[in-house]
Amino acid sequence: MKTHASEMKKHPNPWKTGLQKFIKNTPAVVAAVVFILITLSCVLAPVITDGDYYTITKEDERLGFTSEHPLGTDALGRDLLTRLLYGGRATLKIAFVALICGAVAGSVIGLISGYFGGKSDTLIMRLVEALSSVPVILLVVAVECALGWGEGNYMYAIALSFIPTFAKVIRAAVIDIVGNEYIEAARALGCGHFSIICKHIIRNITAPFVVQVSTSAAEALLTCTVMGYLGFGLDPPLPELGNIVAVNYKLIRSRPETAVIPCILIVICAVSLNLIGNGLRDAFSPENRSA
Amino acid sequence: MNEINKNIPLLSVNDLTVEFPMPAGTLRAVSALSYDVYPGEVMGIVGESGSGKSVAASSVMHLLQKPGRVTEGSITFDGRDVLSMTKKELNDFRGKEISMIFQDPMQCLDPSFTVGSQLMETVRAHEKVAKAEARGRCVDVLASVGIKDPESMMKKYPFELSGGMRQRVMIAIALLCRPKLLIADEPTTALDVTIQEQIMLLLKKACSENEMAMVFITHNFGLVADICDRVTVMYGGRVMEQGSCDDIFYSTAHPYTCGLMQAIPKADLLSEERLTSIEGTPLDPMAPPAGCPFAPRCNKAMDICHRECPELREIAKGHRARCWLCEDDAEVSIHG
Amino acid sequence: MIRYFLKRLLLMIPTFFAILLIAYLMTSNLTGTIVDAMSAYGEGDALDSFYEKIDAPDNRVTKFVRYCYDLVVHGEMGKTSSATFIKDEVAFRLKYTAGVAVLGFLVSILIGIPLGVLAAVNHNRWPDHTVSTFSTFLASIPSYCLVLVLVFIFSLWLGILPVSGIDTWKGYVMPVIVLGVGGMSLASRMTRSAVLEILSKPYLTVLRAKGLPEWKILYKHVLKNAVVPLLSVAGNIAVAALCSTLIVENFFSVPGIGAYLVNAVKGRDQQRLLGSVVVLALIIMGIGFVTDMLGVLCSPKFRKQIGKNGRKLSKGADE
Repeated sequence: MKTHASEMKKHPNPWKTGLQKFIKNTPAVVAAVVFILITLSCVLAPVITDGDYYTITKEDERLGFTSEHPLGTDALGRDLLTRLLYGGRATLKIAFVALICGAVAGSVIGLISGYFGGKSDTLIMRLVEALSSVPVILLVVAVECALGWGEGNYMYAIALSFIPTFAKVIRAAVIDIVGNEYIEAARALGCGHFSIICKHIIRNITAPFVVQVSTSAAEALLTCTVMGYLGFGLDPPLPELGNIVAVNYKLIRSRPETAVIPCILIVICAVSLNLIGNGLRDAFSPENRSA
Repeated sequence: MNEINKNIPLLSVNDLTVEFPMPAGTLRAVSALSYDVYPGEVMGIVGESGSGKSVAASSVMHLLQKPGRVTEGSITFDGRDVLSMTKKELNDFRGKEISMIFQDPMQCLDPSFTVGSQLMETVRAHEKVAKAEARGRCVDVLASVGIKDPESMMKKYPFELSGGMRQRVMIAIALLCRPKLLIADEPTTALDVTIQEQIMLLLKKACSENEMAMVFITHNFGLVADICDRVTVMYGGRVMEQGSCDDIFYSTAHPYTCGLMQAIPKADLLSEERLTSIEGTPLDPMAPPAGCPFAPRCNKAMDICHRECPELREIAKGHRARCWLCEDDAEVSIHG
Repeated sequence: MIRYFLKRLLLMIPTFFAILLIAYLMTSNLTGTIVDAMSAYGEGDALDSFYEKIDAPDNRVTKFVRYCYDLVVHGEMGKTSSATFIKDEVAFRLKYTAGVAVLGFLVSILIGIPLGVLAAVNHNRWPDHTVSTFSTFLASIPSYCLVLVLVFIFSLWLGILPVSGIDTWKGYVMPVIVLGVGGMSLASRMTRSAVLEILSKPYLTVLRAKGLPEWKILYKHVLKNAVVPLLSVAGNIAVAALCSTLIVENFFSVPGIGAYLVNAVKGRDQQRLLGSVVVLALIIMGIGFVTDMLGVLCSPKFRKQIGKNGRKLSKGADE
């Protein structure tokens, strides 16, 4: 029952108990290990491979799996493994940067909106609401038009697309905290807005922030690959998980494995990110902490 | 229908224990609670929040929310065992034999249906009556709970009503099938003081007119004196003291009861006497102390209080208390 | 009621022109890049003056005003470089997009909402876990991977569906499946949390205390209270279905608005781009309007409040 849950003793350190809960969640831990392994091999791509993702082999040398090309070659005869690792590197980087930028920007907006309230809150939330109704693909188009083509500019569009979610979540959390008496007490004692935000609010919105970042991570990755697939991404010959699939899609009749392997990699990444996100949410979100 | 016998309890709760299994351990919300309610009388259950009084009340209706469950004890109503009823029997029983009203009237009416339809569905769930007849009865009951224009009230939605009006409607719903027992779970807590008064009057009137018994749950001793015949004082899921209203008020046996009574504001005294509150915070139900649950906050606590929990023992006829001070060998009076 | 309806409708006009203006400003660089590309071929002076002419600020404003005028008064969206009317092109393509999006929306709603209700009603029991796992897994599959799998099975292996194009009903099957799968997992998750919120309301305990049977509480009270949240789920899913259509069309070479949009971007064609943005903005605003109005019609609270003072209550004031 609700009253009893809320009357239970507060845990001394929510981070510690949350982490313990996360470690007990086997699928999430396995997913975390898998994802770390994938990320590591992408980061270490220059060490693992010779870094040659652009040399085109001749038609008659495209033999499928060989010692020289462990995963074979792509539709244009370039080494698939090298392209995958470099592509993963690029995509993970773009997705990560986009997510963090969007998350931080959205959180700051939500923080300001929730903390100060009033008319600025109404105005900000109207704008955020408007932004959230714009399809990602239109955002990408707009950003590419404004900033120019290629070079991963769609990163900014994906960052923009995350602002509404974070602004809403953080705003709700901030409003929840501002209602507490200790904030009023701090204000009565003469603490400035800045120090109240730094001391009390930032500390208390960290958990919802982390949970939201982890549950949005898979979406960020998938959106990045879709934009890469549609050709809004990096300029060729730079590899990217999305454009690798797009290029190799042409081989679906003759050598489907060249398109299937990158797809499998993407799905594994997305599934593990989702599992990690669910695990963190169960471990840290307040409604699950005591029940 | 059998003759109402004032000497046979209508509701009898015996050694009721309710537990909530939680990831961090089992929470024992109510342990070994016993009380009887005789026909027509008002039993008050008093305690701070978290003392298990609401949980005890919802288990009487078999309405415990998950993951709570009754692990021991029995509940007998009018000779029938409530805990072993089938779903069908329970649905016939709830609202007809026992009704319940709740703490927060703002949240307790379905916002999507009119007051009328929520009243009508209650009547028609229990009795096969024609629509017009059911409607007539609803209007009568609404009038009897002091609603001026019952016909137009039938057509209103809950969001158009004030808190006091909604609580009146809740009481009307509870009285529709003329139950033998009404459980009122802090019915006035969420209301303004002036409206509190009206609702209390209404409840008193309803009990006497319908010869209905009531279990009145509150944390406010002032209301208890007003309405109850007998009182059970609970703390940490256990009965601390139980007896007639006079026993509790004039020969108080338990320090906790004393503390609660000192916390009632007295309007008639001009004294500079301070309104006292009980020191300390309510018990953590996940980690109950080894001894008496109230010992850590008790200003009369002795060594034995921290070591062992006293038994609930009868100190006068019908007056029971759970305190080492009431044991024969302890010759300390707390009225001194 | 009618006053509220009209007010809501009138409010859409400034919103629409704001969107149009932003889109116009964002895309006005595109023409510039064509000139850049042309000047790379060294047709110096003549192009310089041309460049100045089209890029002059007041010229942009008059062009925007003219565009709006044409759009509102004549319903025209300008011509393409090959002298076809954009209006006709967009109308032709909208047919396909609408077909795929509506079918995909229906599939998502008809499967997703019941699944979400099932999960919420059986909260923390096996149907809930199954649905949650299932929808998490589906949400992890990017649409193009699904396309790959579907094409592999239905086109190459079984040979019953065309790889691309949408000439017969067979062409609709795979795009609709891809849309439906994505929308379904979204719909089931949103429905689940909406219904769970209703199931936690205290008035349900009161209904049980009144002695109503569980099935009646579910079918009468929970369902009626779920209508408004479910309408907003449906609105969200409709927008999501439209947005995914824009992407899915490109996979199956469906000649719809999405493919039109992507080609316009790639071809640096401002007129076509604006045309598709205008249509998409109108549709998305229309969906918002319809769900809002249906919500008002279905909620006695909004209905009565609006009837009194023609003003909409904020949704947060429910409690």
